[in-house]
Amino acid sequence: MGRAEATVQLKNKVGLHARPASLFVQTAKKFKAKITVRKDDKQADAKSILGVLSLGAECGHWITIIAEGEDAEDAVRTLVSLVEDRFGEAE
Amino acid sequence: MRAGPREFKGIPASPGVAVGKAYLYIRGYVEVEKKQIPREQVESEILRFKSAITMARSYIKGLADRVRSEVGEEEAKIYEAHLMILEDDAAFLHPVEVMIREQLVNAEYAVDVVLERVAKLFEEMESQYMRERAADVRDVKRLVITALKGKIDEISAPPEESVVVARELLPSDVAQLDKSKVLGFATDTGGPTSHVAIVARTLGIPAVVGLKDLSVHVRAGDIVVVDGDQGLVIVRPDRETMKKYQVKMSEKIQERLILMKYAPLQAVTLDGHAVETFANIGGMEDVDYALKMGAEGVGLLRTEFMYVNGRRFPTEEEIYSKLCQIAKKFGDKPVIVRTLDIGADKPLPYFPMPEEPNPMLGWRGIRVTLDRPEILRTQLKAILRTAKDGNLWVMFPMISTIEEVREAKEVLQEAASELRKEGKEFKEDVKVGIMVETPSAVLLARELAKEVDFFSLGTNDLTQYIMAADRGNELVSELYNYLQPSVVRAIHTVISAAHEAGIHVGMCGEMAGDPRSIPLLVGMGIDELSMVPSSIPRAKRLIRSITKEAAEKLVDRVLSARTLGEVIDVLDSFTRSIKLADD
Repeated sequence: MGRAEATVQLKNKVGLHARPASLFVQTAKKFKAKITVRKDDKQADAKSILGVLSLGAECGHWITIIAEGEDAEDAVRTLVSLVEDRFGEAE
Repeated sequence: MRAGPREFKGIPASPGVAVGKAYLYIRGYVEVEKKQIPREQVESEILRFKSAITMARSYIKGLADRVRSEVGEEEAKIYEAHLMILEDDAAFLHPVEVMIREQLVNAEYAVDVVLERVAKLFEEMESQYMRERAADVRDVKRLVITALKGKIDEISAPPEESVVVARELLPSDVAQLDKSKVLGFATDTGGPTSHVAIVARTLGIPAVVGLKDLSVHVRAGDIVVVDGDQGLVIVRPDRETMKKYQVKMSEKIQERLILMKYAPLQAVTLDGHAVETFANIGGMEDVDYALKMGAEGVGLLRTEFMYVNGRRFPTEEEIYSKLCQIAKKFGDKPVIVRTLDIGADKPLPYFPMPEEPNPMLGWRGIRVTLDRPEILRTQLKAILRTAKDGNLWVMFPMISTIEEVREAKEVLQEAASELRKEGKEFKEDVKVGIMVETPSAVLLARELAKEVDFFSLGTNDLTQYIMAADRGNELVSELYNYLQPSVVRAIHTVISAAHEAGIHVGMCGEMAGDPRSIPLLVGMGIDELSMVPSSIPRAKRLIRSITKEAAEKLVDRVLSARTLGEVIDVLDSFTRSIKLADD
């Protein structure tokens, strides 16, 4: 049973909202691992759009991605690079 | 990018013009009731929830596809968010299941609680964006709850003051809309006598129907012009057009003010013949307006409003209390109460009607209530009791035979004897009449007149049945015209038969409020005209501008006309010759 964790800063304009939030959730769903996103004292299931949105994570905020399960490492790596790539947004 | 102005041609349904922001009305508001379920029903309740989710998903996908192809990719994206919510296990699906399982509640309630909690949470967040997402969550909530009822229509939100644009407006939709906020109606479907058209005319709201694909091209918040005189809708008008219509709108208001002088006056011809001008009303909401417009009574009280919103048939007491409210307002003025008039085209939610290939020719009106006399009896008991304090008359709809009248009167006798047994106060001798709206009733008019105290011509159905032309079908709208010579002759036959028998004859169809037909009807000797309240002042002014003598001559000319065109020509030339009263 693997476990992985990483903290990353949101650099895209809208933060974890709208299109980026959908992309984030859709990406998380591709993995078997249980993935949690934490922002300050709030945390949410990374596969839940309502949960991710309710974090209210904006540009500049730091989020922690925690995954547990066989593909945990892969999941965290993929999600982190999605955030760092600014969700592929041209800004 | 905003698209430019666009014009749409439809069917004029209610006169006047309106300019305002579009409100896209999408159907499907539902109330949620908390119900406890037995433990053994938990699994089937969860299954029901899951299949509602499946239904909702395929509905959203369809909607997204439609919007994508008809409007654009960008606009379709909002539905992706809806779909993701429908798939959200952690925040939606799982909590609902848990709640059903642990609290033993119905799925509707669980969905309502879970998603409302999310919506509230979003609303409290700082960003504008998140507050808007709360609306998405509520849309999904409404959709799923509607799906749980077994059938999805559309999603709706409460309207602001605006022009209501819709694909179709069913009576229940119209009922839910706050009409005081509606500047105008524009619908893709419907004809001049569709429910929305009737309501619009009643309230004096401009409306255009039969606009085909209008709703696809309008976005919420677009400025829309509704020209109910021309049957025209302009979306996103240029500045000049908008100004022109705003001027027109204020002129209409001016005209209204002049006409309002006639509201309190009596409708008497220049040579002293009085015609009663009554109002058609469909609920408490119309009452004050009708009185303000100068209604001297109610020629048609549609009672369906007492039935459509509940979960079961109303009790005698419930009907009684609603009737009393209305009767009180009208005092001694006659209130003609039509008994329940339902059919496959206007069913009740709790009273399933059989699928009929031809509902207009099927089980409707008195045919239903005679087969289920307990429904009729309950209603009649309430009417008889109210008649003690008000001038209520009873009217049976959809009569085509003498037997039906006699049977209905028997049910009335039963109602009276039950009341007597129960020791309740009621009026013994109410006036009993029928709607004359089938060709059979026209041909039997002389005989029917001996059975009842009054007739009321229902020209909407009468025209449809005489012309064999569906009143909602745009393809036959030319045939569906109460000025067709055969319809006019039928009306003349009925009025003459009533007067031969010495009974009162009125009219409560559209025709009664049409300025073009009023002189003809006055000439034929109609005793009472009952119309949408907003038409009353104009009708009174018109009647005060003509003589009975001239109107009688007009009748001869119209009865010898052979075609619709000839009838219209004769009536129009008469109208042109009128010098409108200015008192």
